[in-house]
Amino acid sequence: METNNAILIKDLCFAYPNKKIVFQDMDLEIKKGEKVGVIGPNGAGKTTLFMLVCGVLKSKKGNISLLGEPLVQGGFNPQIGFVFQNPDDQLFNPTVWDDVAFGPINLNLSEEEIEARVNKALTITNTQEFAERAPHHLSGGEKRMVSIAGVLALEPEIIIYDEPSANLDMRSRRRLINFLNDSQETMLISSHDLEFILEVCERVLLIDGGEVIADGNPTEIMSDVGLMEAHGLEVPHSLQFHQNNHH
Amino acid sequence: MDHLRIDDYANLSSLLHRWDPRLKLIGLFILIFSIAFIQNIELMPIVLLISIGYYLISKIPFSFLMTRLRYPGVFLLMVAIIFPFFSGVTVLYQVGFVKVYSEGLIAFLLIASKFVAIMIFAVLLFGTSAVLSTIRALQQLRFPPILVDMLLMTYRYLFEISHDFRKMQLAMRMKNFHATHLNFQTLNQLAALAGTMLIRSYERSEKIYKAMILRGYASQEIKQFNTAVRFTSADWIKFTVTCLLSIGLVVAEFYFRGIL
Amino acid sequence: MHIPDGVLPLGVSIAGYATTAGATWFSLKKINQREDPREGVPKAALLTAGFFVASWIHIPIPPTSIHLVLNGLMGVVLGYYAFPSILIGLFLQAILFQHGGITSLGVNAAMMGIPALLAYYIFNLRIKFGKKDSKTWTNVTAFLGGALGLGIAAVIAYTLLITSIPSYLDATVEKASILAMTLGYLPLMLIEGVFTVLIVNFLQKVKPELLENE
Repeated sequence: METNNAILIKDLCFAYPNKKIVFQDMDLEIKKGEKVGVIGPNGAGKTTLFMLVCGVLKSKKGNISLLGEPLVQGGFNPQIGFVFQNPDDQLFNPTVWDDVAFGPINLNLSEEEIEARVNKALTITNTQEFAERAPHHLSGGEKRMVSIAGVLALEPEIIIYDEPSANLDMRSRRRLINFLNDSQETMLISSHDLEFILEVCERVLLIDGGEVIADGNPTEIMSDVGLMEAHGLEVPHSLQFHQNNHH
Repeated sequence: MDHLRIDDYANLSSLLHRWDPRLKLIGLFILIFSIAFIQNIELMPIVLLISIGYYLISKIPFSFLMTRLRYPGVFLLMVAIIFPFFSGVTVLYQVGFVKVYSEGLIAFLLIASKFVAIMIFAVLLFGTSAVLSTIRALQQLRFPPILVDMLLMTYRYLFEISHDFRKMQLAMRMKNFHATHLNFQTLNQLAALAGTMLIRSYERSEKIYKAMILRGYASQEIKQFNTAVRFTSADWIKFTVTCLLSIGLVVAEFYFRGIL
Repeated sequence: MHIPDGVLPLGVSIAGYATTAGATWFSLKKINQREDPREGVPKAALLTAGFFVASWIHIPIPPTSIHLVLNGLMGVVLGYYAFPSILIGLFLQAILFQHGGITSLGVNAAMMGIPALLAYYIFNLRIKFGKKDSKTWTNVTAFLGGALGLGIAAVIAYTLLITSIPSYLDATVEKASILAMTLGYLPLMLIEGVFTVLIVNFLQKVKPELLENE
């Protein structure tokens, strides 16, 4: 089925066992190629939403489809990738090469294809030199890029980034911004680093209490002092300056 | 965690470093076990000469070998105190009421030299290849996959978790916690420290498992690639020499026992 | 508690390896009976690393301090993964910092790992008797698991050491010294047992699913 949608969510309901409902009849549509920032206070449901969209958690009710195909809930969906907040949770293999090859091996590809995929992913993320290194010997920025390579090797069309700029120094953060701006995949990026979202995303979702509170242009939403403060957020500095100029 | 790094000198180049880890593992294991077989003190100079010879070939710095002896050195000291002075019937020397028994002295020398020789071989075995190559070698030698997977992952996260542990200890010390007296409260706080370590490990394992599923783990049986390189003739020569030395030691031991 | 290289006769070392191979085979067989045997791998591996590090905790007994063995607790938390986990922990201790030994690895794994399995069975007695939520049952079985885990391992270790080292002592003296050593371990068993109870209580309060190993 040909579709423009990367992610389509209809009437999504979800609750953790014995806990209050997280999502109730949520609808969401993400177009192919969009780079969407997801902001909101801690506990707003961002990570839960991501886990549902990746198929790790099973929804109670509702439909999620990726690229027009229904999501395999609780199964493996290679068309979507997930970059964890803490790279150490994701780099579970003994060497960088093994880690990047982990996905392709599970796709049952041939040895040549696996090698090609790994090399390509390492090249795109500019991490070829670390291939034989052990993940715990890398710096925070290097770990981040390598964990992205591990996801890219599956060649997903949609990638979710959970707090990608957390624990990065300024140079690694800048490198990541440039990298994401050059990437072609559909992206969902959650971050408390709102400047980061401003630089990378063309659309932003403000989520709180399991609901989409606002959806639209990042500059517009994030410069709305009333809206931001009502949901425990602050207007980023660059936009405060922008506002002051108007007064 | 510096003391975790047995393989700091794994990328030197020597005959031992260039030996395929699989044959090195089997060969040195045979040699180590034949040393364990020896009960005659007369053979110990030869055993020590062989181990020093292998050590010299390895080019590993002496200072590194010595740091590796530090921890087990306590045990040697204990044996040195107990055996010569308390075990045996034939008195070798007597100063006042302190007696040195010849049987005890021999037993001590035997244990100490076997211990040192085996320890040198252990350092050579695991110090001349990266730990990961050694684990891979176990994998290629058809150790059970679940065991090898667990070993790889434990080794991978040992560094992170020990790092966490040091930070938590520091945090406890900064809150003026000093474990100096044994009482219920101290025990309870230490139990909380241990429990927290375990919970963190467990929670991390849950995230890792998610990360694994997201990249297709358990979606099907992983095929094992037979990427193992073939043995060279040099690998086989080293293996044969090591086996011959082992056989020589065993034969000599039988000779000294009067069996041959 | 770790028997080093060079002490035990070859026969004992080989018997230790044989016992360890058998116990590992048995554990892996039980693990492979699960719906997805590989699901437990990350949990067991990370907890192995966690226990490895937790065993660095010193318990102060002035003027000295002791390390915990925690093998009983490993049985309680890891179930059938406990034996492979102990084997891996001892292997890494032996190769990374020469604690324990290469020839004695089999003996060490067997003497700590089999009591761990026993501790697991003891802890699960409370389920068998329908007392899963009884605090007394939990505490008593955890205590017994922890204390016996260490105690049995210590008895095996000293018996092996004293009988296999040429000590020129006669049999009655040997028996007496094994008994003395074992009695010396009673206070340590008490501490290990109490510590196991404290950790089990802590886990039950903070992360009860860690103890759901039926």
